[in-house]
Amino acid sequence: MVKNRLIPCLFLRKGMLVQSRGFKRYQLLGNPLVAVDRYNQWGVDELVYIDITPGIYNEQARDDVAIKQHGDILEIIRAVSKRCFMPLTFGGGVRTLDDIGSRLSNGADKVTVNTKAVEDPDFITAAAREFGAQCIILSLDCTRAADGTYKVVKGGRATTDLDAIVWAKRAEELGAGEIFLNSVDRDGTGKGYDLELVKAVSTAVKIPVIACGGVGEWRHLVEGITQGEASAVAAANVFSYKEQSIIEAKRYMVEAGLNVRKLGI
Amino acid sequence: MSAKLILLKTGVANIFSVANILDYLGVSYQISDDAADVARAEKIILPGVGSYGKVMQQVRTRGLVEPLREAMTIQKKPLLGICVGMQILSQIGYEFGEHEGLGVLEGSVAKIEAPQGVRLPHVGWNELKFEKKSVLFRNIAPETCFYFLHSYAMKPESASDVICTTDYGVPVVAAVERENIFGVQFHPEKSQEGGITLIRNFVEA
Repeated sequence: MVKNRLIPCLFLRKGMLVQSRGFKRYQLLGNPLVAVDRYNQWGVDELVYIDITPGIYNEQARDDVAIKQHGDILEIIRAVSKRCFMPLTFGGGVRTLDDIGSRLSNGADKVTVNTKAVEDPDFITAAAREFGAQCIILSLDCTRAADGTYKVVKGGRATTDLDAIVWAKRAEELGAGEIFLNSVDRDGTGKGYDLELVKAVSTAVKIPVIACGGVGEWRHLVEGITQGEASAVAAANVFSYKEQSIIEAKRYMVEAGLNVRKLGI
Repeated sequence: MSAKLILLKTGVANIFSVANILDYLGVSYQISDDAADVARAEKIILPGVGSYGKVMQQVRTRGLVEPLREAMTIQKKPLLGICVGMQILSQIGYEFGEHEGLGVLEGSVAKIEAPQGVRLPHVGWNELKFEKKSVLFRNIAPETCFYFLHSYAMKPESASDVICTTDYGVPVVAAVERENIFGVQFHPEKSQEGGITLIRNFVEA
């Protein structure tokens, strides 16, 4: 049976890796290519890069000279895919079918769509038709509302009225191949996934769900699968600082009895 | 003089990733979508992502249907189809309608009949169960996982074409071989060590 995946998530801001908390505070980590060689050695299952450069979704950032100097996303994709023979997802700022096409032809296997999908849901269908549903991942950022339901957060900042579970189901119907689920509230806290959210989305759809946001300990990764019923577990910060962290995480997951790919196989 | 190995540009494929592995292996190749290059090639790699119909449309538009059929069935050139590149080796595909394939391997491509609770697409690393030996899998430990990313799979009419399957609640054909014709459903260019070895095996065979 297919293995549950462990996926480091890397956030890019103006071409550099950053660590975030609550999608607000950003700490610079450095050159995106430094991480690549480490992950390659340790048998990471997949890599997800999300471009969270402010304004990347609109024309302003696309023309920004400073951003171009630091790292055009396509150059980063090319450089990563040259060294990293594993599945790569590049999201953030996807607005047109051309955006998707150029990322895929430069080495990405999948893209995530977020804001564009919320504003124009038919875009998901158009993208799935053009490139295959398996390439199109819905990036779903959520925050818990006062009434206990989960709302969709658009563009990393704007909380909408849209119910996250309703939107997840709709995106599946429209043709999304997977869901990359992030909790804005848990992001950077190290308190673990919002398991209620992960389970609600995982049980609402029949496409794979990748949980992200809040991992601080390896047991959180296990919980994401056993309690959250996610198909894959992603984490950002926890893999940035610690040496050998992927190996430790995988070992923990194997010892917990999960069906994960062992290193070296 | 054109290169012996042709990496076929089907328009909807991650050519760059396959090229990266060939570069890593130090293999010389030419990226082409020209029928003349197909005719002159000694070996062909045929990648393809997206959907059966779209990839076949791209192959047809480039006038490559007959050249590929001839290369495989008459000239008996080794060809490795990857993902949808493998699927179009079949006669017919049922993704978004009915589409005619290259038809060099009898059979069809249809949606995986995943049992209750099993999600589609089939995404991730999975193990293989072997039906026969193949040069493709030389020096690869049998428990090695490969990366799959698909909802549709091949149903060959000849069981003898099947090298291995993968378990996804139901057996899913993972690789096929008939003489010089090879196909892999998974992405060797994204399967790290195992994938690199597989591509090397095809190139060096």
